[in-house]
Amino acid sequence: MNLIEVKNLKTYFFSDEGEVNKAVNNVSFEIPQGKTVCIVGESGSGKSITAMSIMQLIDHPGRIVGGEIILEESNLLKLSDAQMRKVRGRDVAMIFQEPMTSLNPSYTVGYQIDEALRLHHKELNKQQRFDKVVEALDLVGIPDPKEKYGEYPFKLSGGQRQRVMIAIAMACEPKLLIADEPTTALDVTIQAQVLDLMKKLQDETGTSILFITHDLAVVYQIADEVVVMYRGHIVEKASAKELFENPKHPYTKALLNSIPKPGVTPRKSRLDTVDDTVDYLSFPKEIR
Amino acid sequence: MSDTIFQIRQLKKHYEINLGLFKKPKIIKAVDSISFEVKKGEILSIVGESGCGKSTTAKMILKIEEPTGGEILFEGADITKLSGSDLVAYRKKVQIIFQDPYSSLNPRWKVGRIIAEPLALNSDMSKGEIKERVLYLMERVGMLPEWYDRYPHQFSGGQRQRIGIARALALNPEIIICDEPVSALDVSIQAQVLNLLLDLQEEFNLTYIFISHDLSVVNHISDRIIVMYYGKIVEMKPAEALFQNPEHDYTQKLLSAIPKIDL
Amino acid sequence: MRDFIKQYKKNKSAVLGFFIVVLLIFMAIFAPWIAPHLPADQDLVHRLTPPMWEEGGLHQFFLGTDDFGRDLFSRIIYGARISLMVGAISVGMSLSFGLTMGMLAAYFGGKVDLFIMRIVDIMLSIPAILLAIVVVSILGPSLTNAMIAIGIVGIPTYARVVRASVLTEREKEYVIASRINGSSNMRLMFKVILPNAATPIIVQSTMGFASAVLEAAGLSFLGLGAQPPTPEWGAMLSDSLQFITTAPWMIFYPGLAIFLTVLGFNLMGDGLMDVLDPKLKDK
Repeated sequence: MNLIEVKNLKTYFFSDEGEVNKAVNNVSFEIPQGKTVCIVGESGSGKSITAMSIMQLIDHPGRIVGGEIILEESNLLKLSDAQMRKVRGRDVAMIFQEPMTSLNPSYTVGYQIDEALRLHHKELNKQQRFDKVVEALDLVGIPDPKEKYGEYPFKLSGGQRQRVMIAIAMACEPKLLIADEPTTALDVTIQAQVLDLMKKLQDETGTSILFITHDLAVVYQIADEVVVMYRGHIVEKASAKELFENPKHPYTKALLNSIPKPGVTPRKSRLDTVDDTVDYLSFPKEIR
Repeated sequence: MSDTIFQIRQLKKHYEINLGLFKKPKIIKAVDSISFEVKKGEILSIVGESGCGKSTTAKMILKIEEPTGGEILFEGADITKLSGSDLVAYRKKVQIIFQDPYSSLNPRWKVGRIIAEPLALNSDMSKGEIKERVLYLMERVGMLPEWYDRYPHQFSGGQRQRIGIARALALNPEIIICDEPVSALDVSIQAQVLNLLLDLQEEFNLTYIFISHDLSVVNHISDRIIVMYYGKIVEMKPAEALFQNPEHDYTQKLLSAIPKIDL
Repeated sequence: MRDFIKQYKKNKSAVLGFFIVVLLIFMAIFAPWIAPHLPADQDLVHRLTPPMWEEGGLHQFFLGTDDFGRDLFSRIIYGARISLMVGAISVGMSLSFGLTMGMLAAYFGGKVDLFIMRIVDIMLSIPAILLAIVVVSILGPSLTNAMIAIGIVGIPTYARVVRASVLTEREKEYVIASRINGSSNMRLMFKVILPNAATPIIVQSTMGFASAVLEAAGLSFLGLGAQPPTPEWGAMLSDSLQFITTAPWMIFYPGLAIFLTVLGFNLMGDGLMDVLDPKLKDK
């Protein structure tokens, strides 16, 4: 059962000189219920713009020019602003890469989680909301949640801030969590904890996850399905298992080969790299 | 030990945090008495997470920061006591490649000038000779000669790193400190820059002190690895041995946390 | 450079500002050729003549004359020279001292920073006009002294702006790279850091020009700046107060000149800020 179906999405950026940057160029994929889909690609691949398009956070000079984003029967692109605002935060939530700047430094942690609840669950009273916030903080593994409610972001570490971000996102029990490179700025051990947390939350709540990253190793850890993007196009799409065991598209293969694998890649050998001269888009797309 | 070029002994860097008039200042031990050696021609990596002290150590070796205690001996001489022409000589031998390709190049200078700076400041070469050397270096790191007159913002991250590498090579150094040189780059560009660094090491017989938090990369290129944690060295071993047989708890934790692709 | 011009052109008010400034400079340079009369020439027969298009106006006095029969139009044109000079010299003075102080404070930090910034704080705690008045009163009323006063009064603003800008750049890796390669302190300050810290300084200078002109007009209005018969616009306002009902043009046109000049520089400064700032953000 698919939670979200993205069909032929096109998001373009228009410069004043009349140039068009086809950041997302006819992209189609599905996000099954309760599963994790990873969009993997390098800078300029369009992966982040795809995520932002689903949330409809694309601003001038960019515009979604075509396609459909179907969330449980309704096409998100056809919703009014007011309707989309209801979807954002409640049905679809998003967390970002920079935990330092994505939390508002002037408000306490508890307030920010509470804000999400206030917007989308108007039926709850103050005490109920407080309990839910504490519950959310506990769920994401923040110790002493009741005390941490009144803390300001600057007092927390990067990993803790990211957990708070996840708490804000999960407070309204969204159907889809979009995570745009959430662990890239974190230390490796913290990254491992955050990834474990996300998996745990998915198991407990059944939330689907759309995880954007450039790190294939992270994809290996958490993805059920993988979408490989290059310059605005999907070049390969497969289940995680199939992609890693049997990568078909030359770009995917080149990406995989450029990562040194301890124990496998001969030490100090020259790594295969993505070839600048090759037009990877000329190869047939491998959609499985 | 004729092939030992650096001897670091009980190196310390402490910072004092002023807690107010009536409290004793808090002391942060960024680097807490570490000792190690660097051998000629090797790639020695210092690995650890943020705050472990690896960057601070690099800064002290480069004389950007002054140690609070301990010694850094370069070819037998204490570098904290260098001055005048000895200092210039040291500078010529020990160079750095920075992490952030965006802030490590002067945005207002052209590429040619950026790479030429070390030569302009530390050698007697004429303008023409300098330009020739810069063009040679550019070619060596895979840059086009046309780029000489361009500005950094016209280039991608990977290309800017190449500019930084060319600058580091300008004075024909013996040792290059690589401070997370590929952390800010895309995976495929990382591979290109790593390949370049390996090629250059062989060609010029360089010694690298490679700082990183990325164990996969470190494992791939290092001869020896030092693992740091909260200012201390917790493990120091040849790369192979570290991965096969990590002894310290923290090393094990670090290794298990790396997302790996095992097939 | 071409990019810069293109970006700048997009902001219509900024372009307007630019043209006003150009007009001003043009007027100042070509005053002897444009102005129909000399600014100090009196024609007592025709004193207090209204502008040309009004009843009683004469075509040889385009904007009318003042109480000494001097042509208002010519005086305004020559006044442009004075205003530009005032702006340039005051800003020049504030900038040189302010830049040095801000740069030294930011670069060396610690006690140097504390010491310099305390001086700046003291200067800032005295209202600008008051300080200017005090300086001029000590030195004696004249345009030159007014310029010096305004120059002194402007120093703290530049010191702060420069300090903030340099502090940001100082920690960047390219500065460390130059330092490692043996760059001297002077070189680091002026060749490495300054070109990158320049934007806010340029913007501040442009707007500083406007406030300098305004302050000079204010001082002259109070009788502390330009002395008669210098055709400084503020002085012209002051001299004309008594004629406000009988010869309003004497006040209106110099006032308009001041207004347009200040507007022009401010718009230009705004435009520069919009163009220079986002462009310099990489990534």
